[in-house]
Amino acid sequence: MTRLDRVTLSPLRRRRALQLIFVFANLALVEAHLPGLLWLAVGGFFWAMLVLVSVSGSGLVCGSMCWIGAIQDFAEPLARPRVHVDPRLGRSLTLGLLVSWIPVGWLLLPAVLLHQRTPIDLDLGSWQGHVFQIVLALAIAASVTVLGKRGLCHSFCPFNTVVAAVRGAFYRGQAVSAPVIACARQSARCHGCAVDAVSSSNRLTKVGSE
Amino acid sequence: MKSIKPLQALFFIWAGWELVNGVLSLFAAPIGGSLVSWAPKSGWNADLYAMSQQYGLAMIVLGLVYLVVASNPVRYLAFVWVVVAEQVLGIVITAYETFGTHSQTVQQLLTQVTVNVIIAAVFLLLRPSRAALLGRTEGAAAT
Repeated sequence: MTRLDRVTLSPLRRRRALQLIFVFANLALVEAHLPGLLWLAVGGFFWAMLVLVSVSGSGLVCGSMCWIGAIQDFAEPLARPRVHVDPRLGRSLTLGLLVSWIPVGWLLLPAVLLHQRTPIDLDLGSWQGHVFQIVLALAIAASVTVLGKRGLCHSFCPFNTVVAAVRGAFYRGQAVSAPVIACARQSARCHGCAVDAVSSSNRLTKVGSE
Repeated sequence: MKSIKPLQALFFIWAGWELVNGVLSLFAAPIGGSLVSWAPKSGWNADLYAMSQQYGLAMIVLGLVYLVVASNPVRYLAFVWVVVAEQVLGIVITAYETFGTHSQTVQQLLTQVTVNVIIAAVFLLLRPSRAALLGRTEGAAAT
């Protein structure tokens, strides 16, 4: 056994460490602003990669990489589901918003279309760019007090709907393994995050149960 | 036991990033540079374009290697250290550019160091332990 093996973390601690890293990265490194064409293309490619690895069955994205999911996990002691939002409606609204806000922004600010400004920048001078992220983080943490544990993921996040749709397209007409069929069938009332979170940690219970 | 799937997914994502970065650095140097917040203080010149193209070629080769690694991360597990070495080199080179040649700003160095440390930490956290791998091998042999 090597020295590095001796300091290996338990699955839950390892997952929490990864989540902390991604939360930090999103708060400190990512500056929220309207992207130009370049970053739309780069971002689109990045998201396509995330969808593909999730289609392959990996729980990395929802379980460890997603900072929104991570903040909800950290705020879990405050979680109490008080309001139920129809996931179909919530996810459709979010997807519509995510798809439309950039073209609308370009209509209002045409100069942004061709800029190459990167959203990855640890610019301590432009703290305003990070304030949005911090306010968003606080709102996400507060959301669990109304929507419950991973309630945002369950009711508003369209990622797993997209993953289920792509997975369904990939495996259409083929004999597929049980987990894939089970997950594809859940596209309407998706438990993708629950599956991912549970597979990442034995201690976590079912998330977003209905 | 740690699952190898997250590391496999990470290698796949990382390979994609390296390929995009490489292709852009090769064919559109300023755009490739802007991907990693890299912009020369004194503007682009012929030498920097040539340097960017060499960097781009290296990134493409590394991206292809990581794609192979993603196909079987257990077999090529030691390549995690290649990713870590890549991050360490990135920090050293940017530090030299910042304090040696003064072609980068301290802010760019800070961004670079933070990104490099995060990437190295994520790969090391997802790296399965030797004990887990032994268990995996024994399990496979038993079945």
